[in-house]
Amino acid sequence: MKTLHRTRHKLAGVLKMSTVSTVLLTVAACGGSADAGGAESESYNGETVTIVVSASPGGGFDTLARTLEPYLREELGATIVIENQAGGGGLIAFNEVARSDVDENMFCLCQMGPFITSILQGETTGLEFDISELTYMGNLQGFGSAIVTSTDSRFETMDDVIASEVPFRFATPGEGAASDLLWPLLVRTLNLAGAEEPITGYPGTSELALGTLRGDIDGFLSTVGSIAPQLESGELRPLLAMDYNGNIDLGGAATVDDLPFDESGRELIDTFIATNQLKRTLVGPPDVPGGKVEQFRSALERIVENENFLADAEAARLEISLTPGADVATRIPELLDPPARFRELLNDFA
Amino acid sequence: MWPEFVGSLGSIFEPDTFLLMLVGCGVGFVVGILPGLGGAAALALMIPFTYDMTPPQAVAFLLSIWVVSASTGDITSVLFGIPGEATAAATVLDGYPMTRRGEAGRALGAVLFSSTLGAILGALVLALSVPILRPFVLSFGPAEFFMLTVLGMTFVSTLSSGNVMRGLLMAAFGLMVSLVGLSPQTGEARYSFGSIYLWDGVGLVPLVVGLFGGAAVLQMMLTNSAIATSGTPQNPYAGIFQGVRDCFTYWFGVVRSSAIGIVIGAIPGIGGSVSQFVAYGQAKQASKHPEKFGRGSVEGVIAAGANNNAKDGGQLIPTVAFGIPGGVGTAVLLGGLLVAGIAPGPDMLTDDIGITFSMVWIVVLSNIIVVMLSIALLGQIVKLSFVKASWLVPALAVVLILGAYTSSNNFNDVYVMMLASALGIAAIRWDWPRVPFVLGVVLGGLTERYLFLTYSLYEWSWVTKPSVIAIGCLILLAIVIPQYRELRRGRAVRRSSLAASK
Repeated sequence: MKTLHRTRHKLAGVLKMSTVSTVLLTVAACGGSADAGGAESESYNGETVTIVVSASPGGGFDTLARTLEPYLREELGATIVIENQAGGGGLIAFNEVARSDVDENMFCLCQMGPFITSILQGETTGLEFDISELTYMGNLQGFGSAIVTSTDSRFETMDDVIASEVPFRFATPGEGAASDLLWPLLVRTLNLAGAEEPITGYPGTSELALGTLRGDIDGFLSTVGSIAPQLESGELRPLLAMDYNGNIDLGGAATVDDLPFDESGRELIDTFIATNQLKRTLVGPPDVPGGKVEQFRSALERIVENENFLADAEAARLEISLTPGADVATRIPELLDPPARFRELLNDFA
Repeated sequence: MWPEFVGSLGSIFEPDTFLLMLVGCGVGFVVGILPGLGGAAALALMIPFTYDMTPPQAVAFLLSIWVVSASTGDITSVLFGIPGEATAAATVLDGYPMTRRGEAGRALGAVLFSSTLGAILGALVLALSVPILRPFVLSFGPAEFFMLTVLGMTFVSTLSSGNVMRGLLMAAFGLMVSLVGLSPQTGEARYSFGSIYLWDGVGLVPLVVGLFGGAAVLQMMLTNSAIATSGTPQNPYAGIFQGVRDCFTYWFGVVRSSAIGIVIGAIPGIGGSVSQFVAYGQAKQASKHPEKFGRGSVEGVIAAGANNNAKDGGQLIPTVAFGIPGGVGTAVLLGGLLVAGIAPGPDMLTDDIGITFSMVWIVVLSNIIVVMLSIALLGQIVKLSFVKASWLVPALAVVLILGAYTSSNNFNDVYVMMLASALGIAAIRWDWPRVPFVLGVVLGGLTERYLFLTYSLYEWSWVTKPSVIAIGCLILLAIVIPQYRELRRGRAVRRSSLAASK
């Protein structure tokens, strides 16, 4: 009996150890960085490539990554892992990639505009690297956005908004959204009625759309793909299309070229669009070997020519337009040195 | 409309479509059981598989994953005290104490069957409300959302386990935690201490998993006993069928909790994390035995279960009617529908009404399938509650860590889960209620956001809106009725003690 008791006691001790070791192993597995073993290699063939999506599952970023995945796997001959790391306005994912000096096979799919804007505003909190030194593989989607209103709204065109003495109630999600800057820019350069500050605090596009349909607000800025159902059903009417070349009919909407900007206004809106044009950019850490950079960039160029990929993207309401990685790399320093007027605008709304 | 309703059922029974629905049920079953991963993440992973499917097949596959994962999320809540989803936290409150009492089978039978009934009611409301969907959804805006969050706050005293002062303090602590992160108005980082992770606030999934699940596992480690501390292993099927019978006994509770789930689910911007506690609090207020809530009341389990799945039907209402998702899960589902060539919006209520009705059937059928599958499997799973802690704890610790980590693939979530576990075990040890804290965290951010937004839109004119006044009356009733009941109960006790002394 005593022997049995001792055995049980020993077993309990072993099990407590096993609890601790199991927990430690799990913790290590969660926290450990996957070393793809690709150091010094000049090709992704047979390696593992991780794409960190800077947003939660679902939504434009995630859909693009998952639509791209089978084609990228085929082109690179690599295993592709999609990992969602939402939060911090994309900074958590961005920093993860930029600091991953052990894994040159890790890329972030993120939006560059907010990072560039925060650098220009002097709010570099959270950015742990020099964005000019990163490796850019390509940008897959442009700004592709529109200001929309309800079909029942009294503002039928952008001219109505410009001519109206009653302010157009424009709302944004806040927290550094591109629309936070667009509205004061339009109010200031087109002399629109009302305050420069938009109504902020809507949690996201769904709530903005519902608020517009209810008549609480007159309109908002959104990526066209995000409001495709409401545009296609005619519930929302596009007023101003910006940098959109997709398949959804925005007939009747004005473009930036139609608006009566003066020279300085034109410069501001062009800079604004250019800053926000890098909407879905694939970014890697600094110093990725040249052979790999070339392989990845060429793969993206072939994928955007692939009819099957384009059909999948169209079904998912993704408007694909590739800016090659070399062009993105050239454009980043230019965007970090914008015209003085644009800096003034940014500083006014910092 | 009737021929379309019946015809859509026929389309579900097409062999390929039915098979894909079964596969979806299987995927949803596994995903729901694993804490953290969640139905929304599973849907996102599965969308690429729908590229070659026809629209009815894609709907059957995706929708069944989503609804089934919500049902099975309750299983770990009941068995191990670990919520499978953040929206299954209320199930822990009474489900886990029932398991500890040796009644895991009954609790699982009650929660799964009430979930199914809730889902069926939610789906029926979706079908019947087609003509009034639009005005209903459009009648709720920021002012009404704000008032609803205040209504949710009134349940703090009900959910304080008999100690209102401690409940209020825990709720206040929860409100403080909800302030962490970027301000919804100014975008300034508050209490983030330089950490980007905290910009989005404290994650709800790791918080809930730790507060309830982590605390339960720590408790098991400390006592080194099986989960079921009393009772003996009985025929688990008898318990499961007892739980099913309980749902019929408390049928009004099923209807009431489902109604709360449907209404709150249908309003984009509030979400299931709130509705579960509102339904649970309401059930406790209305119960003849409120003192049993939190100690293993089957009424509490039924309220949480019915609400959890009914809200899914509610969330489908704005998704179908406007293409505006009612929550995170429906947001991903909407993406899947678009890929499948289905454009939610007004046409879904007219030209494409068949697809809307097929959604109703899928919600109903997949819930029935999962409850049958669960009953077949649970007989064995229930026996786990009688296994000694030293065998179970390592596995549960792994589940906890993975559950916290996979919610956003961020290791900081594991730290939050661990801290929340410590807080949970301290709350149990010194008898401080945990639910008001969660309620404070969940409602704090929403209350702040919608108060400021309401003021930006209407200044003070919003207080005279009829809908705001109506919800205000509900708030008053929610405060006054429990006090009145307490007063009457006190008088009755005094009268009976007076009579006894005479």
